[in-house]
Amino acid sequence: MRMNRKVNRKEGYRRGLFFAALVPVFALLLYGHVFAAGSGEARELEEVVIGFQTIPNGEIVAKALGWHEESLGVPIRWVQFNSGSELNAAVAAGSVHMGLGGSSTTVSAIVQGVPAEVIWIYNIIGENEALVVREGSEVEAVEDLVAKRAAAPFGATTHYHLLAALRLFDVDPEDLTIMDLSPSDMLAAWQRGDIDAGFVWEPTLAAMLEHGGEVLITSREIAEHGFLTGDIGIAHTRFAARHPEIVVEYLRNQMQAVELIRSDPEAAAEAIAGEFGLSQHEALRQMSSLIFLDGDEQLGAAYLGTPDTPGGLAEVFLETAQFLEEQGTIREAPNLQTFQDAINPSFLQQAIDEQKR
Amino acid sequence: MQLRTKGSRQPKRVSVLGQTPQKNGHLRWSQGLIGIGLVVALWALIAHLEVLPELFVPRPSSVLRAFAEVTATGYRGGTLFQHVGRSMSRLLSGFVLAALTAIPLGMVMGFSHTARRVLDPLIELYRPLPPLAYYTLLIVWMGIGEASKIALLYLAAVPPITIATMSGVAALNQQRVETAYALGAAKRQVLWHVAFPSCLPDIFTGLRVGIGFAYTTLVSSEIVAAAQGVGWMVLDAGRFLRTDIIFVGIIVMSITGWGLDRFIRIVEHYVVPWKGQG
Repeated sequence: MRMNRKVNRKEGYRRGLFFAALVPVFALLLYGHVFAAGSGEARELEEVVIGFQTIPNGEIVAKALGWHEESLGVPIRWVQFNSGSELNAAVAAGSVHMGLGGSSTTVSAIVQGVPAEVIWIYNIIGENEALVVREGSEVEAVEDLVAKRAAAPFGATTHYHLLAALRLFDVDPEDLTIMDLSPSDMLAAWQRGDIDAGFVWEPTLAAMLEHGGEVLITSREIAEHGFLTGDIGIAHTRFAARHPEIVVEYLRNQMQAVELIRSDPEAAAEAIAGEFGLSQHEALRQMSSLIFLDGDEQLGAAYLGTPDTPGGLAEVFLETAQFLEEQGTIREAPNLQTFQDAINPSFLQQAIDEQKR
Repeated sequence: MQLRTKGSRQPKRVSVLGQTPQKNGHLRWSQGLIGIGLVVALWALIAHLEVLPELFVPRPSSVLRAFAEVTATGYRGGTLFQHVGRSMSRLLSGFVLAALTAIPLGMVMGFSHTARRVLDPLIELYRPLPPLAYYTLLIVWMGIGEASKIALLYLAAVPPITIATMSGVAALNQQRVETAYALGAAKRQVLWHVAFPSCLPDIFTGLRVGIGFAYTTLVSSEIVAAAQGVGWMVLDAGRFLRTDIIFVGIIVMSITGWGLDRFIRIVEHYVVPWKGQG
């Protein structure tokens, strides 16, 4: 009996040692995985992974017309995201090389140290995001929201704009109930009458308006008061450093898409309609609620700026960060320099230079 | 493995892993802590060497700081205790409702063949459903308030409790029942004083599994329209990539989950002290 027990003990120790030895192996694997992620280290780049969202902008035009597939020289994998925060996690893990996130979530990515840089502004948000209230209800101004129930997807640009609207009209957010609802859940809650107001984007916006809603304030109006929001293009830092030519080519396609939207909106809307299963008319309506900037405009002082003179987008980001800090979502807003460092207009500059040559 | 020794000593029970169970509870405890200690040490080491960015593996000190922060000043509209409290009230409401309905249901299904034939397929079909699959339906039916959240947790807890109760009835010792009848007990008395207590060990197993199911559903239930709750806190922190808060939430959830299970086991120990002794 006693001998047996001794043997068992010994075996136990051996097994323990074996598992103890496994721990560093796993740690090494994890370490290797994280560091190999984001780009193909020494190996060939097999594919470019692009994260997109269902926003009727130039990216969808380029996707529908197959421009990236044609010109990037590498197979493209498209991954759809429902929010910028999901995209951030995917970029942080190195699973997505380039993608679209809202400005609020891009700010949290920069603040939390996601290895990504800003390379493009797909669009500035205009009337495609709006605060909807019930038609004929007593809510006629933002001030009337006191004691009501308003919804927004937390962390999204509309959440930021809901809080910004409250501040613009001196309403304490504590005086109303603000609920965290994704667009689809918001629509369900709206139809049941569970909420009095919702700040949301297309196509849920159109659906809410259809079901007895009216627009109280749009993102364009809030942006005019200095709270700018937009859909931002980010690239994984290491990927961009290793394959600048792909990023430049990608941006050239984006510029071409903006050109098409401006010169022939019907054709652009047709392409978007096909991707989203909308009528061309509806696609055109949704598309024209966005504000598009061409490459030269983005290099201007108000937006990305040039590699030598940082643009105003960094300040917009800083203000957003300070706002998020007050809301307690991020611990500490970093300084302006952090945001200027995270914005990299050099790829866009190069794309424009090559085009002009 | 089992060596008979001379004398009247009973052979020692040998566990599956081939190790003799320790008599000393404290020793077992300390062994359990070794595993946790190793993981924590590895975590501290990775953090100390700074091989991974803070985003991937927040330092233990950051997590402690985040813990102090959410305990004292709170995370977005509630302190940690309020978040945990809100989640617990949802969980326990769902669980208590489930226990109150599923135990009688399981008894009925155990005793009545008709009831079992009618209801069993229903339970078997909805049991494997992932709760998120039908959550939107619950929201459309019951709204975005507490009702739909509690309903989701309730539905998660019902099947294991029902099935365990039913199998408890099925395994009922018929001799015991017949003896009671022979001694002149009425049907109701047999049910209350013989059948029900005999099923209790199985019911408790069901309760433990049920609260476990409900607990794993907790985070899902707080996806929609919550502004408080420990599951919501983790989800919300995820949106802003606050990995330090996520760590705090996960650690707190695993301790509370373990505590709940422990609690039921302690209750079980007092209510059915005969469990596992035939």
